[in-house]
Amino acid sequence: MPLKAAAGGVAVSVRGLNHAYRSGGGSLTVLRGVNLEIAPGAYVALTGPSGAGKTTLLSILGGLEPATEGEVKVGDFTVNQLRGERLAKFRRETVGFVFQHFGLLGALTALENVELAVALSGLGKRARKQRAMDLLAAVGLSQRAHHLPKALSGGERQRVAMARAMANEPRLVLADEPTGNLDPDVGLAAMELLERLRLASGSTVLVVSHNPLVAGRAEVRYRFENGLLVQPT
Amino acid sequence: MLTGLGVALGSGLLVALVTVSNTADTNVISRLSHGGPVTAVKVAAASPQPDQLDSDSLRSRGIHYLDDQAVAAIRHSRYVDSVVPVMTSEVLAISPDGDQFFGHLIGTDLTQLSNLPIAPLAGRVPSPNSMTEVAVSSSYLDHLHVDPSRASTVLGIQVELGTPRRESGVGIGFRARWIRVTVVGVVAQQVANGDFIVPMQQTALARQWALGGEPDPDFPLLSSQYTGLVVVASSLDKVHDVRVEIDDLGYATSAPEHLIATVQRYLHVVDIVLGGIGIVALIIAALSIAGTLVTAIHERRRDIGVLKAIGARDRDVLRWFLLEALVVGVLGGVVGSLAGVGVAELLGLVVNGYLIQQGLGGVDLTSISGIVVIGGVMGSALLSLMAAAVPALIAARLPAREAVAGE
Repeated sequence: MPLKAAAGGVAVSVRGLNHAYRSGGGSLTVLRGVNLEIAPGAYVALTGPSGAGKTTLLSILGGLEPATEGEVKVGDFTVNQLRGERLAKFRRETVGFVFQHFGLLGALTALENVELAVALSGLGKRARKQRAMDLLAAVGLSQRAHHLPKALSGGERQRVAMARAMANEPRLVLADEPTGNLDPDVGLAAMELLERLRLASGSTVLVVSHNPLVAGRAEVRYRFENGLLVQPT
Repeated sequence: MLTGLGVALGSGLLVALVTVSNTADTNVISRLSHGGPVTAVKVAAASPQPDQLDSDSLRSRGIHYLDDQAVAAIRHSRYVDSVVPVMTSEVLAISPDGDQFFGHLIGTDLTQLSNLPIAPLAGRVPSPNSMTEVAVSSSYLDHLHVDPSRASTVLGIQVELGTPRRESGVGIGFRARWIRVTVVGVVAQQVANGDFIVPMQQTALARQWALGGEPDPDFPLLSSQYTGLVVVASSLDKVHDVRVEIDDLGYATSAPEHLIATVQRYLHVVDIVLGGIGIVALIIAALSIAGTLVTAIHERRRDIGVLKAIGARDRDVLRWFLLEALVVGVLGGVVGSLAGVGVAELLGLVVNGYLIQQGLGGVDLTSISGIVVIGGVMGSALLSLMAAAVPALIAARLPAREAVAGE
């Protein structure tokens, strides 16, 4: 595995988290008093019905969404206090995202998609290209490096997305329904890959999934119901 | 694709308009000067009337001899680029078929052709020192009943030219100095009234012969060294100053300065109208760019969210969208400018064809300017950047949560 080990996983601490979206004239509460502690390097799954608040919690942890109320800490970062440049740096250097829709840019090749994430960290052109090739090799896609996303299968796209997520050695990997758009066999292979990457990097991994088979692979599982977090199962 | 076409359309229209407008201005004014320098002032060997400077035409009263001293004084005047003396002499012309008529030789310095209102229609002007060559003006074609479109048919014919003088001791009381010359060219000219353009020394010899005769009221002779001058001012806006200075020296002048000023005013109105059309085209192109980018941003909200999720800053997103707009602007500008040049060429051909069909002289409406084409490309790029500024800012400020929107 050519991946360099990250500085290890990071601890996640959520206390008294409430979150609501403005909807029409009122507001829609999606998270209610969520408290959560995740140990560094842990592999955690969040399950629950649609609209329960899983993706919202993931977004808040990754700095995509500012929390309405409460304290969210990822390692030394108090995420809900980060703004602008510091928030972008946090997303770039501490967090790696894997999306259900893969989130690949259609105009860029697999290599360029991964390279883009490395480039944002300021690495030189030659070094970032080498790094991107290493990452694609790690997910078994060296031969597909110069293909556009539309020429890749769903499983291959998700593997490119995972390579991109690991681009800057993140200490926290957030995966939102990573197998949601994949066939069961392909999804299973994708999860095995994610686990291998996690073991190689030591990152903390938080996976949101409806799929009990996916959730079942995690060390710790939480269930969401109506914005409330049910204790680990 | 549509954005690029919008830019191409705007820049193409503008390049075509600027090309036609600029060249038309220059060439229409040039046409008013009858092919010579637009800043030419004709000076006569006559004193000016008091209202001379109010008129483009010659308004003279009485003779005022023009000699080398006067030429030197005018040459040293401010804003004068060149002074070319002109000398005319009356001749009896006999064409090969025996037709006779009285006409005039126009002698001048043919080495200074670029400073004279002479435009060749066929053939060439005589060699500067030739005593056997002549160029005829279109008035000579009228005498021969030759259509100007067939001017070249008179090239090569030989004409007998006789300068008469009064000699009471001979049979009919007149003798003539005869020369045989070959027609080497046909010209349109506004140097002086006359039919034959020759080197100055040819006219000088003719006048010397004529002045050797006895005085005759039927052939009055001006003993001035020169019968006129063609003075070229340093620029169009100095033509009036030059006329004033020559007027102060006591010579009558003519120049189309008021006509050119009037035409320039009309052309300015045309420029304003064309400029207005160009600005409307630019606004439409800018709105097209902005509209297409806003649509693109709406369609790419998730991509923008993903970019931010992987660590892109607002300024990175802003830069990407501006760069995209710049590429579209440059490509659209290149395509549009080349198309605009093509349209201008086509327009020039159509207009010229129409003018010639109507029996008017053609005017070259299109002279392709590299500056206009480069300006078209750079302008398109700048326009794209300006039009993209607000959409790019909107894109840069989209929240990162767009990456997971709808999930």
